[in-house]
Amino acid sequence: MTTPLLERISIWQLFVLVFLFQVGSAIVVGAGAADAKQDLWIAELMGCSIGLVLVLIYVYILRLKPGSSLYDILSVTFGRWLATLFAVLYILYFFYIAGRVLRDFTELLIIDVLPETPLEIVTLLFILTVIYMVYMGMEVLGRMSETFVPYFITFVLLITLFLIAGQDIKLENLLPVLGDGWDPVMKVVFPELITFPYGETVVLMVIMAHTTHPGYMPLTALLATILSGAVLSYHSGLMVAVLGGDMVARSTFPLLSVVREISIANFIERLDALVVFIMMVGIFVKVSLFFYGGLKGLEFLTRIPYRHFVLPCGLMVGFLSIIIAGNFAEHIEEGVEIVPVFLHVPFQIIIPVLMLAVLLIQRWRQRRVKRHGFRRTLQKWK
Amino acid sequence: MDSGERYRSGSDRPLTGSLEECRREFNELFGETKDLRLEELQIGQKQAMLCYLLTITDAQLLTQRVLQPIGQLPSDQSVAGTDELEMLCARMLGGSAHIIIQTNQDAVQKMLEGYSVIFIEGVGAAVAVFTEGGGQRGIQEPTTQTIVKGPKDGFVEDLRTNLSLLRKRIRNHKLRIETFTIGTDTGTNVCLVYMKSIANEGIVDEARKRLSDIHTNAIFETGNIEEFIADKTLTPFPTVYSTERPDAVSAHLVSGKAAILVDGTPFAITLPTVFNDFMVAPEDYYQSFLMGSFLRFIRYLSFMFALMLPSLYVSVITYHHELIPTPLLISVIAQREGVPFPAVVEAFLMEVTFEILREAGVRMPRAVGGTISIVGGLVIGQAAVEAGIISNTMVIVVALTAISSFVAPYYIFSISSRLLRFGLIVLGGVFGLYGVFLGLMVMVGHLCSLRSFGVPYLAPIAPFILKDQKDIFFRLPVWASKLRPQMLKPAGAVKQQESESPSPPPMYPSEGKSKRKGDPS
Repeated sequence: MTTPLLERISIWQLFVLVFLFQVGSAIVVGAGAADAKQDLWIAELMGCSIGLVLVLIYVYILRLKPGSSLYDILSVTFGRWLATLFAVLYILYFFYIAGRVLRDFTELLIIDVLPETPLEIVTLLFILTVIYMVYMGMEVLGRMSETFVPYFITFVLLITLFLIAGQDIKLENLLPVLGDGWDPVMKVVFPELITFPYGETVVLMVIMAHTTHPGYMPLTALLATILSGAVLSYHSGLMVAVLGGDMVARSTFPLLSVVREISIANFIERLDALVVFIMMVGIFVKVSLFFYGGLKGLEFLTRIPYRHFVLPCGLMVGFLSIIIAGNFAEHIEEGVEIVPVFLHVPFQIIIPVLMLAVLLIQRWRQRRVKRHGFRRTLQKWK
Repeated sequence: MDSGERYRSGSDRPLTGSLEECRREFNELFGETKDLRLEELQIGQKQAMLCYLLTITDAQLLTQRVLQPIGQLPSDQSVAGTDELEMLCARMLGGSAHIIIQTNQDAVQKMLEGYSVIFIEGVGAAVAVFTEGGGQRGIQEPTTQTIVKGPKDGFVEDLRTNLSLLRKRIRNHKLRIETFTIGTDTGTNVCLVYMKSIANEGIVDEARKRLSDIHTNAIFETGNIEEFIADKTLTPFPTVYSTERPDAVSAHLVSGKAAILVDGTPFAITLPTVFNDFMVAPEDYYQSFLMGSFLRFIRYLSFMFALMLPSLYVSVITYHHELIPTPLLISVIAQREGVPFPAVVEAFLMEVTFEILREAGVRMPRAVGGTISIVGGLVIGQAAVEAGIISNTMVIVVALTAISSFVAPYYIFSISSRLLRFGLIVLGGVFGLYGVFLGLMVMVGHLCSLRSFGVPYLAPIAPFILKDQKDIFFRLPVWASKLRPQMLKPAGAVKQQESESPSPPPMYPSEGKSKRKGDPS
């Protein structure tokens, strides 16, 4: 048994990680398009503002117990046995979601870029890279995302530029605004758009506690969330403006369909293959963070440095991502119908809110003890 | 330095003053070696013995510094004890470097360093005078890092000359030089140079520690040291910067780095080193900052080319045809029509051929150098295409890659792209762009995990340091960069306090500001 190494990331790295994490798979998958159609951007904005509240809860919990991560706080709030149970559940949840995000991407890759390659090979290659990176540790992952984020942002901006240059944007596609009223919008906002991706930020509670300037952590996380909300909302608007609401609703990967529209001087065209790989950075960060979150949980339970688990658990996550669904339709069905309600809501909303409540009660009690003196409190209770 | 202890030979007993004993001990230690000189002398009324190694002694210096002063001594000069010897030396040898030594061991050590040692009968000490000589090359223009504008001198094989080149550039009392003797067989002098109160103390301590921890038999080049002190050796990227340009070393020293110089090689290494150092040429600072910035951009671009171009070509041609505009695709495929190999084999063949050509070009005697270009350029390039083995596009790709790999201002750095290129070609051939991009991610991850003396290798890009960005992808004018690189955590951070653009004040100064001299009205 050795004491686990404490790794710290800088505030800027945290910002980049949160941003890439939230934008990562959400920008590719285009969740909620089926119902919200041309009002998807409104739904995204609402999802972001409610998601912001969730992120606020997470950072507030972390501020109440400075320096301790999700698992430490679980044990402080729920006691040893319940905390162990919750920790095990969280670990399974994180690994499962890591597998899901991975599957999102491998399906995309097989449909769009490498149609002849088996899913297993693509998955194995990706998870091996994730294993390598997570083995290197959080600091390395932070630095890596720092290195890649300029490319990511450049491409996100370039897409707009090319679309404008090719005169593909038709703003009238966005009309009528709220043509079917608020109902379809509200339907996708909860639970789908709140939990994915904002609620998923719960896994970042594992790393957010260890930053170089803990004081700036809450602000950073919130700003990053606002930025990713803006980017997501902007891009769903863009997709609708280019393709029209119906096309977006029917397309599996609307962003790729949009990029396929780009054609400038018959020279810059079919950029979708490139965009897939730029988006890969976001997916990569997301899978790695979920994977890391689960591993840290194992470290918390066993007191063995997480690096011992990286290879076996990584291969397990890869395997999981292959067997969770027989085909892509099943995968998406699960992602829309089952996972948000039965997994996301309890792990992202119910348990954190419970944690917050317990922590607030604990603090209230402590303050009372401090104010009235220990003896008087005791007398009162008797 | 104490690290030299174990290389010393000879007894560490204090000298007894018996010439016979000395002579016996030297003969035993050095054996029958031709260049050992043990010469009898007369100092005053005492018998004395002058010992030196002929091969590393400058005869003129020996005459000037030792023989002439001894000859001028009065014949009744008496040297009885150590104190008297010291006084005599101060009078006789004042001004020339000399050391009083107490043990035989020191005497041997000093002789090996090029000193001449004088023993006097009945005195329990000896005096060593610095008379090093022997063959050395004159200061010439560096051959590995040539520049158009800027200083043309380069380091030579002689350590003292190299140190003098640094001292002459940095006339500052803060410049510190520490000596280590490394190598049980070679006893090579190694110098650690740094600027006190500019360089980070922790880094200097670490360098000192790593240098004293080296246990090896021979050091011939900084490369030998490099592998001992590098944070990680299993990497294609160099984690220390080695150069033969004194101006580059001086610039690194004043920016807060330390340098290591080794006797016997014209290459010095500076540390800590980050990735960006290899994209910087000294000339960037000697010409307009616009040009310097542009060249930085070209260098990063060509590093990318050298690393990825063949693998991108292979993967696009094999898997992602849609990325190429149709007319271009048709012409490329048409050229490939008669080629019997898949693109990945083709790329491999050409790259290996090129590596063979390059290696042959480097190792071959200059006189036959011309043959390479004829055989390589004409026969392998053109004939291979005409014979239908290789496509034209492939030749273009390989040529562009090759030229790009020569752009790196630091030749050794291109080994990283040369090695990784092959891996990426395989990945590109097997998994297409997906493989290439995953390979790049692993590479960047590896780069992020590297450290050089505690400084992250990708600093100041990752971790991002805003204050250091003025000299990374572009170079701001010298007056605009007021701080030393923050990633090195220098002890003295400020480079220049009040420096401003020399451009004249605005033509119509606002109220309250003084007008330029000579302005009408």
